[in-house]
Amino acid sequence: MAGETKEIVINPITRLEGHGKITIFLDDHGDVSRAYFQVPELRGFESFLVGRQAEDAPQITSRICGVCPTAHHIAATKALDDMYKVEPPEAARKIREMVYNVFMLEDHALHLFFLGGPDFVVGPTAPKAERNVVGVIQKVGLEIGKRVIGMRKDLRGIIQEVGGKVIHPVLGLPGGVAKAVTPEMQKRFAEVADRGFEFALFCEKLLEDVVLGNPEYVKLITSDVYTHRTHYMGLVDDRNRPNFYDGAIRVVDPSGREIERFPVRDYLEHIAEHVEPWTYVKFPFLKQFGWKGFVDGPESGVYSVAPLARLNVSESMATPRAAELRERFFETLGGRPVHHTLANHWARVIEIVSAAERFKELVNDPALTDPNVRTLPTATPKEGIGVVEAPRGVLIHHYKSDDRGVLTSANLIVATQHNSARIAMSVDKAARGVIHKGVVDDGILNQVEMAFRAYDPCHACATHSLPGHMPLWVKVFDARGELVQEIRRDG
Amino acid sequence: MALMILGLGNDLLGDDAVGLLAADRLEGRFGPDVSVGRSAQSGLYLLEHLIGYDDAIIIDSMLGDEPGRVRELEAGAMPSVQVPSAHYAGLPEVLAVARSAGLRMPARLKIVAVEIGGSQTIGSGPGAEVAASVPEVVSRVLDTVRAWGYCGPRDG
Repeated sequence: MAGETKEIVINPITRLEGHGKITIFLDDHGDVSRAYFQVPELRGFESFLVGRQAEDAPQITSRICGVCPTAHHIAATKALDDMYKVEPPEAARKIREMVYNVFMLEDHALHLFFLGGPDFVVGPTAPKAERNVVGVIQKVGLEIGKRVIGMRKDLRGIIQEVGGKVIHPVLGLPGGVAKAVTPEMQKRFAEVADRGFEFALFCEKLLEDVVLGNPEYVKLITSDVYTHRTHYMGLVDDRNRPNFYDGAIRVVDPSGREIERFPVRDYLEHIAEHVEPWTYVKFPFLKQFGWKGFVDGPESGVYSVAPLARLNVSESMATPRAAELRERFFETLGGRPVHHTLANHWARVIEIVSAAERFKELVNDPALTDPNVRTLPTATPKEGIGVVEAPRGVLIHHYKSDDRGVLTSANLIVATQHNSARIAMSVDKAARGVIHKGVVDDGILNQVEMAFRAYDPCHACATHSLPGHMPLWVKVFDARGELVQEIRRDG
Repeated sequence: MALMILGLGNDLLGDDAVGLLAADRLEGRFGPDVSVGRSAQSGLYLLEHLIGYDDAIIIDSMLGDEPGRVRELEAGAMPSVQVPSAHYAGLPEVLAVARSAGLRMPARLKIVAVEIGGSQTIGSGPGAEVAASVPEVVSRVLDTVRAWGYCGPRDG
């Protein structure tokens, strides 16, 4: 019957209802009409913040995610700096940035072995049973597996020692940090930084052996199904080099040309959010183009963030080894910008090197151990906006308060939201490849997963109930809304 | 011998706080061979809490039909799946990673889990049924501590 559609739902069974759901609508020929990907709803946290003291925001928001509390903690802390109009002393700024780079290094390393690893180290064509982190460790060897885990433990140790040995970090305060770094700590951290740099070079070599040594990988990365010519957004320093901790927001168009460069406090002038009837999630887009739908190209408002976007928006890297790797990356993949989603995995490795190099620089900086780590705020609070590059991309915290510093509103834009339109496009493309005339190939789970795995969408935030992993569930409904097919991979 | 009792949960997410509440009640009640830890994190982050211990008891919430019902599970009882993201690494994956890397991990591992309902409200605190399960969780943990030969609070 013309005009009727079938609905397919790929629904991860998380406790948070409505999260991380993929919905695919078929037209009356049984082909894909449109596929949608739904990302996390953070409004609950935003309303929870209202009525609380602003200085509690770094602790509260770090509970949003069981994986990346440090990113929310630092973004909230920077929003408080802005709210109280206070500039942290040099040592405090450097301590924050050092901790942040340590966090990026360990988080990205986790991804290389755990997330990208199954596709890139073990190989996309390896049997499914081997394409997991155990397979990665078997492939790279036991000693290396131990080394990865040991390295992460050392890095986590630094974050805990500086950030507070509690569940959630208590490092950031408006105008500074809670704890200074002593010369004794600096010496120990410097040793970890040396090992961290060696580790980063090892990650780089692993990826080069695997990727550059195998033309099939490059072919896979550059295949059309994973390619979208969108705009890109990321934080850059005054020389247009990426910076995880601070900088201006730079946007380039699909040809790599800068079209916007603005301080985060102006973000509402540049970014608006589009609402779709099928989801409560809002899709951010570039205001200067307006919302043109889930399409790519220079006239569309769709943009993306994350490691690939960070490389695409920058002119070079701030550290030497990462800069060399960046050159190689763009040479191999056909120049800047690169539009291949799967290149995020490679970009992440370049950022591992960049984070390790920056950690080394900061830990050896004599200013790091200055005991003056706090500028006391004296201004009356009103409004504050903070931004960092979370591992998955630009993270914005925006608060308003009354004169006593009690929050009256909060707006958080997380990386997965920035990416939500592009992820929906990737899922749509993948679905079109595997669904024809109403026949849903069993391979849909893997195809669709490959499409969104590179973004590492964060849609199980704040929960880790047992068993803690995400089964996938595809449901196919006919035009009358009856269940006709079910593909399920259990957890 | 070294035992880790690890309470997991998010204290801003209603019933999910139950593991942390139980850990609070257990803190300070044991000798030096027993540690009590808490974590709001997930996935591979749990690894660092478990490395180097001979035994472990993990207290967590789990989805269930009867909120507040306490269940004991062996680690092997949970199925392991390939996960699409580090966000979804569960305990089975964590243990598999550690063992495949040859790390010293707890030989005995028990999970004391409290069933919770599907809908969670941010900032609500645990519901009455789940909160009422805490004494039973504590008592079951203490039973296991003793059964494994560690000194419980009344033994020492």
